[in-house]
Amino acid sequence: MDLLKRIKDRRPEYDTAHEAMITRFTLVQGGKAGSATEETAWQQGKFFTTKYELYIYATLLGLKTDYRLPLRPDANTTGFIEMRSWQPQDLTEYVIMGVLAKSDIDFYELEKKEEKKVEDTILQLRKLIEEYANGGLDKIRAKLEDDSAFFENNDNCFIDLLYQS
Amino acid sequence: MIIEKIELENFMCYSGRQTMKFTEGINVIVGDNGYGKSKLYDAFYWALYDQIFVTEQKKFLGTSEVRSKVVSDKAIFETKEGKVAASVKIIFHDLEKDSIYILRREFTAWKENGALREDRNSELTIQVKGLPFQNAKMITDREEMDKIIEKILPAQIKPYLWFQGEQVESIIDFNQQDTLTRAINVLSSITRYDEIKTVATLASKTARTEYDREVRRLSNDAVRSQELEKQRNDLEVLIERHLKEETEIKENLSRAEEKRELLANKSADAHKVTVLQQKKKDILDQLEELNKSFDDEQIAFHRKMFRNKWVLKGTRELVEIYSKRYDQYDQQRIAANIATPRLPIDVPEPIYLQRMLDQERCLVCDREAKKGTEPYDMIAALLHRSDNKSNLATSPAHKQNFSTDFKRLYQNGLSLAHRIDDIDEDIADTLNKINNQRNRIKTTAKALQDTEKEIENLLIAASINADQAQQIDAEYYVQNEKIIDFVDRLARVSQKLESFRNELRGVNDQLRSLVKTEIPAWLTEKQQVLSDFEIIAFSTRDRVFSNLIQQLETEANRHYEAMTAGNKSARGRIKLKKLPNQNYMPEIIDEKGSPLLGSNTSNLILVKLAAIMAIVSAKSSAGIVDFYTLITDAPTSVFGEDYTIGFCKTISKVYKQSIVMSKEFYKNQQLQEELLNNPEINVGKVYVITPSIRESERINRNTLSTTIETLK
Amino acid sequence: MTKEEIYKNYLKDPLLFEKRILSNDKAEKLKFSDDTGIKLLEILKMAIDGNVDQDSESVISRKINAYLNK
Repeated sequence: MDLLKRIKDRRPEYDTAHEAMITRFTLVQGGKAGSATEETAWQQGKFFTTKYELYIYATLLGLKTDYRLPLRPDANTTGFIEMRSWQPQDLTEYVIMGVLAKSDIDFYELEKKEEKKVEDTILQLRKLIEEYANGGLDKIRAKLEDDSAFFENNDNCFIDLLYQS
Repeated sequence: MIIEKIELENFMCYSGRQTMKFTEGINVIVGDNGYGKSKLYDAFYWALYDQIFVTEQKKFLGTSEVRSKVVSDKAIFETKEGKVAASVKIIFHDLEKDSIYILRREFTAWKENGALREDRNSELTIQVKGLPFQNAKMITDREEMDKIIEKILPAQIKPYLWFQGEQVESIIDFNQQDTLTRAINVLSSITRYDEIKTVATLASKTARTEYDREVRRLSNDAVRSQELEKQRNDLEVLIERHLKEETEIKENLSRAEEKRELLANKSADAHKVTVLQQKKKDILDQLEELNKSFDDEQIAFHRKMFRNKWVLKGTRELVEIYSKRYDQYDQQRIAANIATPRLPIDVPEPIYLQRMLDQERCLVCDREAKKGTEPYDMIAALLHRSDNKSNLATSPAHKQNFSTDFKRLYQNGLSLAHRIDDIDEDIADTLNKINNQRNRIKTTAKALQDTEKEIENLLIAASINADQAQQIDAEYYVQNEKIIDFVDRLARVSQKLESFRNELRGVNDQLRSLVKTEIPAWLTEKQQVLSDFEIIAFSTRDRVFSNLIQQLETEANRHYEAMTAGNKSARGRIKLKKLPNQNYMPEIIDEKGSPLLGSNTSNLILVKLAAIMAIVSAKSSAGIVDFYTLITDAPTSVFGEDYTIGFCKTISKVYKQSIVMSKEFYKNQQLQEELLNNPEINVGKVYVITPSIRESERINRNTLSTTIETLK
Repeated sequence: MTKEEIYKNYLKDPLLFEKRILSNDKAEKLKFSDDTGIKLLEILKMAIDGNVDQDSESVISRKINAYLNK
């Protein structure tokens, strides 16, 4: 019953090596939370109003291109707020669905498991999310490196990116 | 009267004795600024008129005011003791009578003990040689001396023949309306006709008075006559007053019309500008709106990534995979009896089940399900499932029940999947919309640019600026109103005049009717003849004057064209325009007859020079150009190199002799050569003057002398 | 301008033609020295004479008036 709830309690993390890139495309909130608006975002040339938005994007990108990239063992990581607070929730759940679909977690067997095991599975799920996100982020990074002009002077870059995968 | 020679001795910057000879044709004295050209002009002027032109004060001053200034500083400096004098001697030759006039003016000062004592005045001596072989006779009679000077150059025409470049402005001053009239009067015999007009008026008036007296004398009713005469006087006074008013209004009207015409030309453009400015404003507003909605669209665009689920593009496969796995999971549960065998709870939802029962129809297979039949019961059973909790059995092996969550994910995935199909179209639509907006903005921006360019071009062409454009419209309106007002007043005055005149006629008739006996025929005839005389005197004068103006205009244009021949830029035509107060003003017009806007200074000066030349060369001026010499200092500096040759050509053709001081030929070798070699220029003597010290290097003038070199 | 030239200018006046005092042909051929018998023309000559010879206006006017008094 509360599987979803427990999944959503987690906060996925990302490699801080991607921090600069994430910041570049994300409107960095000012002192007051939620003080910046969409208008500001666009005017600053930013495409995402929150970091997790980019994360969602990256995760879906990784998922649909089947690109799962484990985080480096020595990587410094940092996270966002827990998934429960992500907006919009339907996309959040979709992501979870996607990761579940791609995972080798047996739904049926899972119900037989102990609490501890369930907890492990949830952790495993989170890790998967992170890996797919990492993959997506890597793809974005690669694109940026190969063709930085793609992101400059192109208001539609992330939309175009949807078509290129 | 030709000038044959000038001799200067210690005059201003010309220390020592210097001589210059002149012949017929154009004699040129070349020198840069400050080299002594205008001092040479001063020499001529001083000799005849005892005055020099003081540049700093921009006016002529007499010897008594300038005193030893006319004497060369070097000469003063070098004279240790005794007399030091400046003198100018000019020899004039009257070609017709072959007589010679020698004019010499001298100013003396004395050095005594290092100090300078000056005379107050200069001294003029005139000698005459009746015939070349005769001895020169000294003229001592003051009156005769004045006559000779008048003969050499009549005071009236002096301003038009001897002038400095700077004076051209004032000789024909476009701001003074009667300038041209005065010049024409001076140089033609139009004054005769004016005088005869006066005679006619006088004679006519005398006759009328006589006539009136006779009428009064022969009147039957003396009292009535007197009354009528009084009336007549009053009427005549009224008429005169109204005539004055009429003229005034006409003048005002004409001035307003002139202003309006000027404005009309500018106004047409100004109006265009105003219209365009409005257009520009509208475009700007439009552009602002377009930009705003474009911005809005752009902002919303990115949100669509999440709001319209674009980010899900290409992820349909995930839903499919998940569906399969969920299906598998669900079937496993069913198999393990922990899930309902058939459908999950709430599938179909209760409202549909209820609908099926109410319609007694199965909506899945679309067949009857009448109440009481098996299909009906099956449907009802589904509806009451939730009542039967026993259906949800839990197997002891299953510690958890995540079915709701998995189902939820499934349903969520499904509903979002539907939207995936529309994403491409949605994106395409949005991009299209944005593109259209972008294009519209581009087009509008271009329109703005074009409009701005149009405005700029108009402003340049009409040589007005944006503020003026609005002002002009307003001013035009004002002048127009004035004109309407003046026309109105004029009409009223004319009406009044007409009625007064009628009244006057009536009174005169009445007066005459009181006379029972005949008024002597000769008197009536006399009055008639003199009245005719007056009419003819007036009309002939105007006719002669108009012809003269016409001649002048043609002549001036001839000169103007000749002088501007070297320069292709728009020069227009000279028109002598008649003003309501009978004065004339020269103006430059284009081919259409409207005033040429933006005439540059050179052109205007040339127009004035052309006008002056026309005046002195017009046939009716009795050979002024043949008889008198043109002496002018540097008019060419006013209109520059372009026109200099044209000017020289014309001058040499118009005047029998001219002496021109110019700087234009100084450095310009090519110009010099053309002057000397051009067959169309009747060139006389050419001199180059050089000072011993340049003006910039002069601390004092104690060593200043001027060299004169003959070029031809 | 000679007296005759001035005279000719006056002879061109349309009033003379309108009042049938002088036709255009006659006007052209007329000399200053010709005695016309037409009072208007004679006083014109008197005015011109007087003006060129520098009589004062009042003198000329008087002469003309006197001439017309017959």
